[in-house]
Amino acid sequence: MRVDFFTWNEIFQNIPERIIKRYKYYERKEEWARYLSPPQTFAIYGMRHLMSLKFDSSLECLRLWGFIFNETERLFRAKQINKKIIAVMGDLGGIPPIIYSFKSLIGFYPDCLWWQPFFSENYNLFEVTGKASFPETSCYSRVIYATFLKKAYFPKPDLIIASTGASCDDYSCVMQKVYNLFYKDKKTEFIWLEIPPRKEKRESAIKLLKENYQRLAKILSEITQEKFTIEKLISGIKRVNLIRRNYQRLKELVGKSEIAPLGSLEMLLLEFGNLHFYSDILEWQKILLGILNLVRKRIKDNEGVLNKENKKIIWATPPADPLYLIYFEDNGTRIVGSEYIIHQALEIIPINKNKDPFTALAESYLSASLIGKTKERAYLIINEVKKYQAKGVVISQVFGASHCAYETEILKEEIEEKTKVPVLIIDIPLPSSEIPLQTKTRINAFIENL
Amino acid sequence: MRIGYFCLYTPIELLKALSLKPIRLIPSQKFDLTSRYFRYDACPFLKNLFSNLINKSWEFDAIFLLSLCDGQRRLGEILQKEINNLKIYEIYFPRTYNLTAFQFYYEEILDFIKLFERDLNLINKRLKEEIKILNEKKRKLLEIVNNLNFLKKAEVVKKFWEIGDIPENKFLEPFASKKEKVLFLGSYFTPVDWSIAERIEKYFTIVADSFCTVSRGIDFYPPISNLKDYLFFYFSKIPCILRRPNKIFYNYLKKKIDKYQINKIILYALKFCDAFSFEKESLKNYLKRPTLLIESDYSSDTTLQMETRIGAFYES
Amino acid sequence: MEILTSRERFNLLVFDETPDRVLIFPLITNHSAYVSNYSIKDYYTKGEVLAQSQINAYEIYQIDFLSVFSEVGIIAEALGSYFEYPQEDLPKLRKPLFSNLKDYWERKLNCQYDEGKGRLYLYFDAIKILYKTLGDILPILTYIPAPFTTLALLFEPTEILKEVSIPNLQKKRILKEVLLLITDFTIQFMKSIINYGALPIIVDPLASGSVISPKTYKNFALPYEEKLINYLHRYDLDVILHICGNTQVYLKELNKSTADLLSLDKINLIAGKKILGNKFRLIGNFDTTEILLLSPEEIRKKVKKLVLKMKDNKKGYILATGCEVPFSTPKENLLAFIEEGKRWGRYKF
Repeated sequence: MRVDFFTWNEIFQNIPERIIKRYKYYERKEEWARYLSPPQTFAIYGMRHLMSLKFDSSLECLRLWGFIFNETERLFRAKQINKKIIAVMGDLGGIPPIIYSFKSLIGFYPDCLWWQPFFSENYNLFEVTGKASFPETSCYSRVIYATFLKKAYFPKPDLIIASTGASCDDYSCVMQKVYNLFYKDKKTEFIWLEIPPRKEKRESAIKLLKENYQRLAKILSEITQEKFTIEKLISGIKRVNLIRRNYQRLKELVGKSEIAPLGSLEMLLLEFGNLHFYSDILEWQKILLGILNLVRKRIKDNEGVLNKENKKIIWATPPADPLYLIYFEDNGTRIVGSEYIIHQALEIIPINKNKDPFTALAESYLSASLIGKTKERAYLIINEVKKYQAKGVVISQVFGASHCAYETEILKEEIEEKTKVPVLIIDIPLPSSEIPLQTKTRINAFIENL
Repeated sequence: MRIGYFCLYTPIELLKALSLKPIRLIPSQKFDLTSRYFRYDACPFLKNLFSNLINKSWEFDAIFLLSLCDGQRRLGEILQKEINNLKIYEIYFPRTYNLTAFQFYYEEILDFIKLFERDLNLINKRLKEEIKILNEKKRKLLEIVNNLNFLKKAEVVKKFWEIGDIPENKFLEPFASKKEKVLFLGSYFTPVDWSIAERIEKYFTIVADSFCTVSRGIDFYPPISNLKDYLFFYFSKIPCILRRPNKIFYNYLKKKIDKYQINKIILYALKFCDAFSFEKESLKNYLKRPTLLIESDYSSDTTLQMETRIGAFYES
Repeated sequence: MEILTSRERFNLLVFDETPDRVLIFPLITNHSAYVSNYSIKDYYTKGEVLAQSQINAYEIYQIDFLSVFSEVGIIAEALGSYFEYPQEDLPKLRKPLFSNLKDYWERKLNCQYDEGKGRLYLYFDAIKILYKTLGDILPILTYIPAPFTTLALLFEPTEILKEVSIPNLQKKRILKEVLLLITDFTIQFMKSIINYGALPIIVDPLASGSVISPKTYKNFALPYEEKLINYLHRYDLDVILHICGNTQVYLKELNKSTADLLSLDKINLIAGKKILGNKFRLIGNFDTTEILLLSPEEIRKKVKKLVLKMKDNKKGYILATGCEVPFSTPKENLLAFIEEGKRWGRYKF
């Protein structure tokens, strides 16, 4: 069942205390490690948008929401218990398997904080970037710079990894600004990694990525003073693959099912969990598995969360404002597939006895969404349309985002030509509690024509 | 084969060694025609470049594209859709100073060379000759433009890239001004932006710049050496704000500031060009000089506002 | 513009991290009506007036928390006690629901919760406006009278205070029964508050050491405060317990509280830090008479001393007044308090 904010509070009253206290992160026993809280808790701490959203009413999904919104505190707690914090920026997928090969390391993506202004319906982070002379015409990802300045969203990282190259430019410029903040700071190491483009001849790109990863493993080993071994990396990759595999299963089950066993907002959060496992890989693994089992049960019991008549659509590029997903679902669609520009975090890393694991990581990374031609990204979306028999595609854009400025029309043209389904392009405006009326009209017209 | 290019990292000496004729694409006009594949927030320079291509501002057979920014990296795909029979060569140029990334770039260039010539020894020989010739020309050009006012300098340098040789320079007057000195830097600077420089020079003297279409293009001289060394020079020595980290670019600016004893900086960014516009604060902090950011999308309605701001900056 | 918003600052404090500076929390309640030129009656009967007053107070003082509070009788009134609304004073208990325990025993208490009861709407209306207007940058604290305080206002106060001081077994049982019913109602009220986006702060002014003995506190106040705290802890909220008056006499009892932040009034806070400071984030405790009567210069001196002695409290510290800022406190006094608090409360950040 999908419920609103207030209904969740009612449901929460019936959850026994022993269950509330059962779920803790980092396998710690302390009270601070608890995370099973309803949306109300996070709304009280400023996440105002939660009041407008709809949520899955299962305990499994409550666990998901609680875990995700607890991440800021979790990162501070990690540092307090002497874990090393690695900020991974820009790569979106290839590096965390290496980080999680080390016991004392926690990796996280500051990149994901671009959602913060939207969940809190707040402009402060934009104002701070404005003061630092970032133009208003740049991508929302600029707020990440403000989170570094504020030191209130994550502790000071022990290492910052910035990946740049065949990727989006806005973020590369944000990373440069962050670098300027840190380069004099001897306590925080900052390294740049090159992301090569995907071209027909793959060997050079694989070689470059592999060298990146090997260099990184060496640096991480120095930071942790923990010996790095190939066996550790293999075991790190296996852990990541387990999560990626379970997510793939989940995505297929949800997409192919006759009913909608899970809402799109939860699916978005789950997909992004593949990036860095919200800073606790072991707990994330359990949460994901719990939801996978829930979905299996719902399919077996024919229990969906949306109207059966809702039309299937595919969503491309993650919406900065999650309210849009809810609006689409409330108005007769069901999001069965997605291309949220993190394809590199979804593919299984092809390890086997005969392959060096660094090579496997590099090969896997070459499936990234944005490092190739737009046509190749279109192909990922087209595949989803065909696989899940979708009736339409929505591409949400971000004003000022460099890739959107050049790829969206090509994507639309390719998808329409190859699938014959309509494509709607929408712009996601700055944080607000509501969707503009004009956009709603366009969305409704699109849905009517599916 | 005539081959168009616009990025400073383009190895023009190599193109010449391959018997290609490089033509630098510096648009002189602003056209309104654009491609539907560019969204409203695409780079104004790339949009105008495209319009100039459609309007056949230059005659050429192929285009050589590097990937220093996302827009450049994606331009090829749009050109392919919009312009029939245009040969497009896309080479990945690294953003970082990673040596394996250089190797990646080097291999891309080797593949490109193979399309025209298989004999690397021959290419190396020709390359040395071309480097020598171009370096000499650039040095000579530098002497000529050194004492010119900024706009005249920009004009002469543009001509140089267009014709591939020193342009006529009989009537060039040395320039002297007592106005306050500024460093002028920013996005790709073309004749479409020249009116901005005129407005700046109402109040200041632009004694130094770092535009790749003006000074930066003639400030660097590759070694007369083999292909790898030559490419490595491009990779490691030529500053660009888009490289990561962009420290070399900052050092380049610092040298100019010190050499010309400059007190103020004017940063010109094309709208949606994050690479420059994001850097205002850092420039101010690192170079310790008051810095003015002016933005343009080539539309005339921004010019008046810009002049007011330049005036206010002068008074500050 | 300060680098952190009050929310971010408060979050760091509750994560056991050091923020940029000490949080500043003069308990500005009806004083906000004073600086807004609203009548005090409108302030405690109209949610939009309460909210607007708080917004004005924020604009004037740049404080770190908003306060939603009229007076401690809000729950007693919703349960049936009769309050009078003077034009220029706070609501006055005119007729408590019960005259004594016997009366309760005969009539019983209807504790069916309904958001429409009494003036509960006042809080909900105010919170909704504040949450929408400033809820992204400021925590909204809503003062919830703890069961003991409500108990004292459901009965003739003098009668009930006598009953709790020397109860026999039967009376003890009845008192506990009433307290449990009040607790349930209060919890429902807190549930609504939580739904609208505010953080409940538990206040128990009538459980002050100046009113009751440590033993009474232990028997009739603390256990019910704890029930409220437990309820809020289910949500993983950081619980603030505020006790007015002198609590010096039962500091050890207080140390058993499971609240996360303690807001104290008339105690030697600097000395209290040694007993409570390892467990609680401490809030307090500038004398409210002094904030009213001293000159700004004198206030500055005292604030400086207090902040410098308290800012290193192990679990953190919030500079506050010991209790509500008096209605007609001069603006410049409060501005001096806040400015000096911000000045001396800086941490290495």
